[in-house]
Amino acid sequence: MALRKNGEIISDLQEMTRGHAEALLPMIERVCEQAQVPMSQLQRLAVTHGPGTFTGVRVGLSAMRGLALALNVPLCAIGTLHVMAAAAAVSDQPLIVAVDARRDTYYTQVFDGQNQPLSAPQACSLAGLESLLPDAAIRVAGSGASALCATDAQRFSALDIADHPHAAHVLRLAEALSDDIWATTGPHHEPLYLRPPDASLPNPDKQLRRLSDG
Amino acid sequence: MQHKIVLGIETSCDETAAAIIRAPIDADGTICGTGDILSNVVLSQIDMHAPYGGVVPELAARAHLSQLDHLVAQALDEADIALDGLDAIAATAGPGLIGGLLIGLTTAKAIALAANKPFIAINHLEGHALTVRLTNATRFPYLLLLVSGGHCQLMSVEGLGTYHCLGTTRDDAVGEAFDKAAKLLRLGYPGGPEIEARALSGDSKAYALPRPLINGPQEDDDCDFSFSGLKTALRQQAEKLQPLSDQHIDDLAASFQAAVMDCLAERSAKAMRLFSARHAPDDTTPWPFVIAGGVAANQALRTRLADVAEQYGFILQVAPPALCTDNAAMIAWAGAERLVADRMTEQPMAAPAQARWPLADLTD
Repeated sequence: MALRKNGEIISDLQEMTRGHAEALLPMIERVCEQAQVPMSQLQRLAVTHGPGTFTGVRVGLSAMRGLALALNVPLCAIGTLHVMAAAAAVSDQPLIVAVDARRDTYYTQVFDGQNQPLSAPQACSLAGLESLLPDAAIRVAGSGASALCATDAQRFSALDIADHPHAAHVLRLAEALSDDIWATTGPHHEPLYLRPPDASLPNPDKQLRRLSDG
Repeated sequence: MQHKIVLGIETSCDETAAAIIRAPIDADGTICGTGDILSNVVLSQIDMHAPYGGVVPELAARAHLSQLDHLVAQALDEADIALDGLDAIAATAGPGLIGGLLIGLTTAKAIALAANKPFIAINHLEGHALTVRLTNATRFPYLLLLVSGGHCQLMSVEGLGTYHCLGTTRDDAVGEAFDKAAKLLRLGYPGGPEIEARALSGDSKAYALPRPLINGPQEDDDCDFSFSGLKTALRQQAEKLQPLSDQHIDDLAASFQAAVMDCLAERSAKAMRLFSARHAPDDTTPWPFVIAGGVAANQALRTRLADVAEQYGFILQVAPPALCTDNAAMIAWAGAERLVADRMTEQPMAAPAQARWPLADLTD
């Protein structure tokens, strides 16, 4: 959670694997108090919309969609991988952010040397990841970095940046959006799931037979 | 007369819902009379879950997030009220599917924080338990049978926040048993209405299915339910009969429903005896026996339990069907009751979502 007031950033961060929902609203309350900004004075809101853990992404979006509704202010959604890329220093090499989403799936996005997106976020396997990339030296960030670097240590170099997106970078990316975008953004942002829900239809072979089956 | 106006949000299972109610308050600051439902928006996800024969949690959570803020705006609009005109915001915090609970709870907290209104975390079962006070101004105490897809309980509702559980299910909820039976017989979802419809043309004595737990000792105070053995017996009977004719399906549905009814009737009768023993007899007015939850829509069940109630000196009370199934008006009402009684959530912004949250935990 980060807030900009008159140029100054006031932020708070708690790393957690569980309990976002319980922690998030008290944190928003705390940061606003610390900044001495009443909620009613917030002018613009931004939130990450994934990819990430389904529940975590939904908790963030629920909170911010609720705030946007109640405050009647614009809300923009920013990609998590873009936020992670924003933590990297500018370079003459492109950057790939790869987050290990298990089951040989990586949430990934490619950026240029200025850390601007060259592709949309997508989910792919380790093999698929390699085929996405130019055959040149490339910086790698995210929890999937070590797996990718292990495939070709000459070509890939892991960046030493945090594996988690930081709210201050969400703030900076949101501030870089044009006034046109802020003027037209709707509040109903959807998560970028990149993965279908786990759901299986009943197996017809295990069903009882009916006379009408023929 | 004064009023309290409360926004309620419900996302614990497969209905996304938002509602606004107005509760009348008398001079000494207690709720007097029935509430007004200013808006009651419910978006059912049934069509989405039907092909799977049950609620798919991840699908449900995705749909709740997509719809909830739209529904809250719609509820405010239909009630013709601004957030500023609310006295409190209430949301279901459990029990239920955690993914859905988190969305309703987080959205409600954010709205409350932004609008500077009190937030109240509501137990979904308390919402069902108090609905009859919204619609009928029923006075405490009363006996409640809560029968839904997720719950099957008999409880003595002694007062706000004081619930004495007389019996609960040891395995499946009754609505869940209907759903599983319907899935087995390849009928639609939700299973209750399908089974009830097929049972109408079936013979309820065609197959001897068990009535679990009801022949136990009557001296104890246990009114528990169990439906899993009944479900297994139905499966075994159906497997023996297959391929199933339409008549087979009708007879199986009728036999299954009759067994469920017998269990609910016997357990309710036992609970009525226990309730009467706990409370001073009142010669003039019968105690209310309230049925809540989606299964309360079953007409065969209402007819049967009305008879049982009469036999034991109780009077059956059931809210309209739209307020028996999951809705947010009941959550808003429970919020109003807690607001008026000053029994608010401590540290409301940090209130957790709880997949499991027995009603008895609310009792001091």
